[in-house]
Amino acid sequence: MIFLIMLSFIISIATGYFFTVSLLPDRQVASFSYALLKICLSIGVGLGITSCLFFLWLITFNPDTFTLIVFDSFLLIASIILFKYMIRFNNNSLLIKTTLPDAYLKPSWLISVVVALFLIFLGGTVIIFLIKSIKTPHGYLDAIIAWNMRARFLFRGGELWETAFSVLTDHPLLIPGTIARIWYYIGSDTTIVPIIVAFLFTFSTVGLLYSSVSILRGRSQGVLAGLLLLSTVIFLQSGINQVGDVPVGFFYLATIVLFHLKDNLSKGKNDFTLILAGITAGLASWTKSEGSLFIVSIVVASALIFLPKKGFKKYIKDLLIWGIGLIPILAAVIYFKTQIASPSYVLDQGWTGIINKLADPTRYLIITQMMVRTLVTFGDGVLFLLALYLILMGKKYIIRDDIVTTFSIIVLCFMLIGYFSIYLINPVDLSFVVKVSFKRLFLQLWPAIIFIFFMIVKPPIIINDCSVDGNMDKLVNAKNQC
Amino acid sequence: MIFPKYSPRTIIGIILLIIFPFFTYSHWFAYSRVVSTLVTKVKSIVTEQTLRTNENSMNINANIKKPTPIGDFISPINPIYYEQRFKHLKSEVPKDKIVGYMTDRGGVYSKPIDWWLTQYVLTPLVIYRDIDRELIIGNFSNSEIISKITPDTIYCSNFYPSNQEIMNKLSNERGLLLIGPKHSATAHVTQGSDGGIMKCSSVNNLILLKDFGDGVALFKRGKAK
Repeated sequence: MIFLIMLSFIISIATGYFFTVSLLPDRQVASFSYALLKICLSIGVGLGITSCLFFLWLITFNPDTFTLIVFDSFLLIASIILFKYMIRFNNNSLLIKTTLPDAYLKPSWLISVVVALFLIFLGGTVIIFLIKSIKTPHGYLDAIIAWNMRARFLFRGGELWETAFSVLTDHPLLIPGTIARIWYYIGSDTTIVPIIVAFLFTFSTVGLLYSSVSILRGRSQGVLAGLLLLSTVIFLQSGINQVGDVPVGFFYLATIVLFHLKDNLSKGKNDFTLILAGITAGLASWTKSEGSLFIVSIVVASALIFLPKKGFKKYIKDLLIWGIGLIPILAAVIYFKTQIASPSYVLDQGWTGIINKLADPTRYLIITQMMVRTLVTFGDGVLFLLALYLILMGKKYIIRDDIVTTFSIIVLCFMLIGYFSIYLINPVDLSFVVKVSFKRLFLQLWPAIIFIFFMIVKPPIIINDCSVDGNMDKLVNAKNQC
Repeated sequence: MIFPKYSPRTIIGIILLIIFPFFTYSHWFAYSRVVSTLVTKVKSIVTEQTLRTNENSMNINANIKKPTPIGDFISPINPIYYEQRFKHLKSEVPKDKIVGYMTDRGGVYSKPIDWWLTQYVLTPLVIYRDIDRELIIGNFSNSEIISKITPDTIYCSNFYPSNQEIMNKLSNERGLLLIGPKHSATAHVTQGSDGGIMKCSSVNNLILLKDFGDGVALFKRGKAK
């Protein structure tokens, strides 16, 4: 059984790896952070793509293990061929415009403490994750209802799997598909599989955050970002609970990171990174329905930011390239939502109900109060810590120069506005819904918020022998002069 | 200076980020079941040792009740517990059927969670929350309720917090009250003279096929009288 579990994960992650390295730019200098970034992206992309293909397999064939393994093997071979093909054309390289190489930041006692603490907390959270998961192998009730039960339907239902969706909500199938696919490999619905899937997404998010901030802002910032994410107990708890907020948060973060990496490309004209960003955005919508809101937010925010800056022609070209990655996965989501899933309960109330709710001013007040209350208490007041840290360290962010960060901030703002709008028209008890769900919706954005925060805040720069403090440009110049 | 290479602001900022995880995790650990279990175990061991010391010193051979092992407790809202309860029923119902569902509103079974957990453990069987099916699964607080079921005790409703008060009132007035919710009535139920819940019209001739014990039963619906 262990061999088959490993085989199924290896096929997924290897497929994801070949897709990822085919589309990511090459970094001239070997870097641990960049290798880690590729691995973390490969895990998410691999599990996502194979779950999407698993869905295609379910609707095409009569479910049986042999055809599934054949199907997966073809996908892996296709990804290797793509890799071989793309390597000729992918002449981009990643040149970080905005960060000092790590060598400029001399190893210091303080940063060593932070690194040690990060590693201790990483080890500790891994142990806590495993202990707690063994104690509650089925996950939290939400995970049982929303994901693990669907996975059981997909696996145990055989040819009748579609009947399940008469009692299930319209959440898409990335997580249940991933779990059920591996259950098909081993022929048993063991609870180890959802635990492993939750583990991979939780710690890939930490790895992706650490590696991306390390690449773009230096290793010390990466460690601080990773430590901050690990400090958010609700993040770890949600991972242990096996709920979908951590995987969807992973894909939000991955998409935003890829937009930032794309901004740091040099040489070559092929923006393959955008294709990968399209894939991760599509996988967000294949994970949870909120992912569709993320896609809309990206389209609108990019029109606001990139259209005036780049011009219509370039903007449309970039949007189409992004769409190459997005559209195949979005097609699966649309097929699932229109042909298989039950209609959303939000739309059951009809237009009159929706308009009445929109016209009720007390709903705006209640939602605002509840959302603000949740933000204040989120992660034991971590937002206050970020504000204080920003005041102490100062910001290096200039809107004019860093439009990708502005774009990312606007995407997250649109997400919050979108959540607000959905609450407005939600037919279920408003206070109850906002109270129980907004904390988790915000958690989905949390890794991306930390990433953007560390793009904005100044890194802890050493006052070096040339007596330069704080300003990176000055530091670079001073280093050159030294 | 301890950190001569950094400005004081930087040092304060980084120290804040270092302290914060300790704060959050200490907060979490205080509420963690693992830690609270550990604390209870340690306390029970200490208590037991104290009792033994007293026992030895006073030379009393009284029967001292040993503390219950913490791990033995299984929450009723637990899939493992549900797997145990429904394991015999699973083999009695064909998996391609859509079956109905009925429950009593007392104790832990008063929320939709019990239906979700029943659905989870009996997957791929599809369970509708109504009683308009040939086969109906009963999930009750205890097996005694099964013998008391009559058409007059069964009502149809959804489990929404706003209905809770009405159901409590009716339950106090009439005693046993079983709920077989209407399928696809997703919003609050507004029909019925009892202000939100109503008599199910199709519960005559409910035949008990098998009582599996622990409040689990399978019913068959005969033709209406």
